[in-house]
Amino acid sequence: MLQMRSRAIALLVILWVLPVGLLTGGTWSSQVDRTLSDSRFDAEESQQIRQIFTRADEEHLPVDPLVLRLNEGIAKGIGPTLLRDALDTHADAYRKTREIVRLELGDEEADRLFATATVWDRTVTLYREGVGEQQLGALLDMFSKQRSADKWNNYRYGGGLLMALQQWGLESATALSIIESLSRSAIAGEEYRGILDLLNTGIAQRIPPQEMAQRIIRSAPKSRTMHALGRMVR
Amino acid sequence: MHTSKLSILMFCMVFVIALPLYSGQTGAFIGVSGDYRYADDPLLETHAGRVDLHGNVDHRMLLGDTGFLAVSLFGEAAYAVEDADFSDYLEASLRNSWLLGPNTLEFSLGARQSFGGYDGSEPFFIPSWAAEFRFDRGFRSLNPFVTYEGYVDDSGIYNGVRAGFVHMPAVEFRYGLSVGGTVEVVENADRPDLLGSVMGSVDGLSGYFLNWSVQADATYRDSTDAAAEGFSGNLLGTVRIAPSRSFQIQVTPSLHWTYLIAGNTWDVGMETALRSDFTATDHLFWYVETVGTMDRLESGSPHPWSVRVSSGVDLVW
Repeated sequence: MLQMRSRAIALLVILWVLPVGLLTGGTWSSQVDRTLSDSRFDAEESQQIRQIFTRADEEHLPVDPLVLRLNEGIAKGIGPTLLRDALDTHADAYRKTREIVRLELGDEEADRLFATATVWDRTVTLYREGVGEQQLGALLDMFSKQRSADKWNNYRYGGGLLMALQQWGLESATALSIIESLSRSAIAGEEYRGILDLLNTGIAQRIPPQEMAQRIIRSAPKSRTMHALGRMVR
Repeated sequence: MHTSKLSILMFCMVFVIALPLYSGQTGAFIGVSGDYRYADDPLLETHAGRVDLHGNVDHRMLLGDTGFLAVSLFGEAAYAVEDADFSDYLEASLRNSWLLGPNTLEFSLGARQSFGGYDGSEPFFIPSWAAEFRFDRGFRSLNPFVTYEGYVDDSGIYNGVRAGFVHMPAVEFRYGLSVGGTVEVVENADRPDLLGSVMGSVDGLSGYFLNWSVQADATYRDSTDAAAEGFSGNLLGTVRIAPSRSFQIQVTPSLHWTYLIAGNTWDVGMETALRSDFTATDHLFWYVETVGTMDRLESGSPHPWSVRVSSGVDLVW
């Protein structure tokens, strides 16, 4: 009797959850349909764009960032061919970075990284901004070794710092060495951007960037905060 | 006294020159600069020009896993064009830090000296010293600190203590607050002057390439000299934009004020500096700076003002 009642409850729950799931699980699909119907694209063009989303969903790629790009593209009045190419390129970036991450970290750790959308998004941004596969692999490797529970969040900040340092004009190898030393420190990821301030203050004090970088690389692993690191290198 | 000052300076110079023999890193730069000042101020010459040669040597080394030592020596020789007059300036400093768990204990010694006078002053020798203990409870925690510092000049001996904290609730924003007390033993005074001060600061980052700060302090002086008793303070702001390693620009407005109780008099002045640094290579730096000053803002009459433009080149190796 008890067993029959439990089965009935389970069946009711499934019958209740399933329609709700059908209604909400197709969210990207309804969003894409709504956006395309509001656009001036013809049926064939809309179908080609829709196929990108369908394929991404089947391959378990994040679809929400693609929906965002679709909405932005339509709002900016971008033509169907350009928009399709842009969405294809972005989806390819997710495929490619997934390969790189799995190769570098193995499936289990890679799945932990992919579980946080913002971390995968940052990896794609790094890849699309021109960070090479080797550099990306090195970045993943150094933060995978970090013992902090926030290591993939710190990786996100480390990646942002890498782009900023390269934009500022620091050589890639030196920039990576700085980030590697930060990954071995107890400094919180949110503080990583303070490295630019140290480099700029160094210039004001006539400490060449390469020299300041070496000071940071030597002293960062001993520092708990960016403020403490600053006291040691200036 | 003069011999001991010279001995101290020579010791510093020999020590710094011998530093490359020790492990660690040695850095040095030498530079030249020139400046021109135009002043509408009865206390200053209308036109004044100056050229100078300056240099700096420093050495830093880690002491095991928990210590750090930095020593530096800066010198400048300047020539004032209008007066056909030379002046000199030397500054030596030593800083020693130790990590005690996550906290830091730091000692520093310093000395500033001019044999022939500098920037309108008489010859001077000013040794200084300080000790500081900083708690580091981590990012986003309240981090207290306590500092003791002192110095000696021709007027007397100064010893002060300051206690406060620094808090960084977010990487884009940090603030600090401290209170301090100083005892100034002045020659020929019945008793020491006593000073109490409060200091506050806020600073932060905006993106990766812009940082800013604001500092304010206020001090009360209790003195047997009625003409010196009163309040004083400063307000200083800084904004620096550095989009690349080859260029940065910094603006620094500041305000200083004094109120003397006996005469019920105010003295308010302001200064704004605009400085650009250009890094041609990792070893060649060029800078241009413009500083505007205006004094006696508390009065309604025309305010004395001056503008100084300077430019210099530094070679680093």
